[in-house]
Amino acid sequence: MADLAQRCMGELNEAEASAEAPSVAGSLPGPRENAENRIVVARDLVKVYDSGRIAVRALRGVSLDILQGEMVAVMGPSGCGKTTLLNCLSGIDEFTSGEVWIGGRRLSKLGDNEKTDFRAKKVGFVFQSYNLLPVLNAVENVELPLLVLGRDPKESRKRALEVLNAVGIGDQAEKMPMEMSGGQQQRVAIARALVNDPDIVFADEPTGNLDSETSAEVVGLIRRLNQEQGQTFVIVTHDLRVSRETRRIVQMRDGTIRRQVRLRG
Amino acid sequence: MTDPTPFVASILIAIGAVLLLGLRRRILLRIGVRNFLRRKGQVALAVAGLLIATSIISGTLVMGDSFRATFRELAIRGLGLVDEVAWVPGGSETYLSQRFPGLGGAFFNESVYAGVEGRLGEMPHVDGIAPRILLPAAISDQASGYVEPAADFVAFDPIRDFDVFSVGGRPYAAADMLSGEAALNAKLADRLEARVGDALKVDTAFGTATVNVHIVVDDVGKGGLFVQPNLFVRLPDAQTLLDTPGQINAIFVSNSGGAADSSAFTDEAISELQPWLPAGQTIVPVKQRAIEEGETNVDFVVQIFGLLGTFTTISGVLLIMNIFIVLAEERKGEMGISRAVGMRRSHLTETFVFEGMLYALAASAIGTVAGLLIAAMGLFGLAPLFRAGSGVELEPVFAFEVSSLVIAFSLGFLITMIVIALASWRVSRLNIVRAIRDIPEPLARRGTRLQWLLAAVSLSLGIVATWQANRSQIPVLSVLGPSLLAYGMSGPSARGGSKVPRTTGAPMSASSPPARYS
Repeated sequence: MADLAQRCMGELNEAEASAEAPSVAGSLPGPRENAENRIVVARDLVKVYDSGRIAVRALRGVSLDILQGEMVAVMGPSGCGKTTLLNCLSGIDEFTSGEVWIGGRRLSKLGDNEKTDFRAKKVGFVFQSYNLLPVLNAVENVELPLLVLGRDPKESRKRALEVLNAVGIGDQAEKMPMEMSGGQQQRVAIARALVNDPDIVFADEPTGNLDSETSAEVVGLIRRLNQEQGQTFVIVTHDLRVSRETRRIVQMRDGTIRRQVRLRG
Repeated sequence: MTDPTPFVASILIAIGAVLLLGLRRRILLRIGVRNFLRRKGQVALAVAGLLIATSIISGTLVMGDSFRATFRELAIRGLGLVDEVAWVPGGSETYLSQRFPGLGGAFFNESVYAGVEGRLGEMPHVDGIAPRILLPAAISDQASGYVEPAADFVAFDPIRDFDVFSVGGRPYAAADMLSGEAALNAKLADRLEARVGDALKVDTAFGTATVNVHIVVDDVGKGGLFVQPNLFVRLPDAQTLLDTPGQINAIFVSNSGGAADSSAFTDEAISELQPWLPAGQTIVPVKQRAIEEGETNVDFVVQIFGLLGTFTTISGVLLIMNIFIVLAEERKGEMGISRAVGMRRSHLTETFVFEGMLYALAASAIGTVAGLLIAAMGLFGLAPLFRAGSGVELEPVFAFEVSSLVIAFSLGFLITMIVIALASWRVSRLNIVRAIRDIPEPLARRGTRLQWLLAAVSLSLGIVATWQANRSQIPVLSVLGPSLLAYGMSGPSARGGSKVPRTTGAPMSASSPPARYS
């Protein structure tokens, strides 16, 4: 799996990489971007997993900027730190040292409740295995982030239905997750990620559990949301077809960013 | 009987508070309720585990009620309508003083009885009085050859007595009993293998006589006096036999009300009777004392059961904690994702508390009923042992007060809810990433400050409880004390080890933030 990903990355770099010289790992992605439209800024991120006997350095000083409206793929072999980077950037995991600013907020300065509220308001998540709550139907799953923030239930329901319609499964609103296909569940997960109109959506292997046809649909949907609504996505993926749809590929290896590739938009 | 009102108020407040939380964020309530209804089999198993603590509490309380009813029944069976006995202390007869230390049973003139009897109209709490003679006697059956050395010899007047015998369940006044004839209760008849017409030899401290068995009466009411083997003769016969003409040694008193509830008027009856008795006469509240003795026995039995139940209840509490942690473990991924999309830890706790309340209600309700079974088994299992040990003929009476069930339900519910709330709080501390990716939580190798604090408190309480237990011999303390000591000493040391590095995001002092965010 790791070899395959590396091979794909190599092919991609040769065939589809833009003429622009890729940035040096850790620096800003390119000359056109400026400091004002950066939605995520990470500096010198270090993450050590200490299981007691063995300390694993999953991230070794990663610096990365994500721009408003970007669609970025994070690729690399298994165990290179992609998901750890995504978790640290999104604030669902702590980091050992370094700093992350997201939407102007310094993560290390936020308490747990602040961070949680921040995620509910500003961040969306899409996971590989959909991770819908099985006891809630589609629309309830989508409206959950709004309701836990204390938003009006009627308004939340209205918004949830709007987003479900936007991702093309408005007619499935009352279905329970177990009554839906994988693709439909992933669309619900995407709707849940978008319902709070987030600054950024983090997706961890969003097509990992889907067949190729459904993967294409989901990637098309993400692409459309990025292009039409300017929604920022950071996608961790092994899937070359997914990375091809993004504007930038961040290639990781051994807990560091080896290089970044800007694709033709 | 403990007033259940504070318990009921507590559970109403707890349920009200939980529902109020639920109404504030209905989505959390919905998740909690639907999680409860998700898997019926799992719910049944969890409830079975959770109900242990409640069932033990319920069983202990109901056992107390049952033993209380059993001893009460014994007192009523042994005294029937008799509530008090008036006699003269310090007499040569020691029968009554054996039963009621400090009292004797000297003979006195029947005119005392007549004097009181004439004033009965002025005694609203006294239903009737009866002149009797009560003496210990050794009785032998001439036909069977059997001897009963510890029987009661009771002389009564069928006309002036307030109670009658029961024969085959039908009342029998013994008006047809002739001079030289006696009535035996079934217990004495059994021991002597006596039959109607048999000649019995009666030995008392006052002399020996021979009587013939006229009838065998039931061991209830008047016939079951003091739950003893009894021989009843007419009062004039006894006076002749004992050579105490016109003398009696006891006035039996029956209060107003039935046999079961008349002892409630004992104080009133005594104060009404006392002025009409000559100096030296004492009124002993025999039924009230018998009931009080029963209560003491009940307290002892309940304390023993409470002590045994404490271990099971503690195990039940730990089981509740474990069941909830296992339930949470199963849903770790869902909880992780809920946290990721914006649920606070407190929201997770609330969700579990909503679900837990349904578990607690179900477990407490079923546990309370299960306690009835435990109590029944304990009662009927222990009664023979108690009978063998004490020699008292206990007939187990299964009984329970509604208040006991309410208290058991309330306590069980509150204990379960508290443990569930603690367990919920604990599971809400999950790491989001580990939960989503189903990675086991690392084991802490060093006691936290809270654990050290708990250990110190346990140690202190353990020392105090053990010291107090040695002084006061309170069984509960003698168990709790060493247990707390053991926990206090072993709690933090069991977790000793090197410090686990914290993985919080450190402030970035070296690299300054971009201009926009600084």
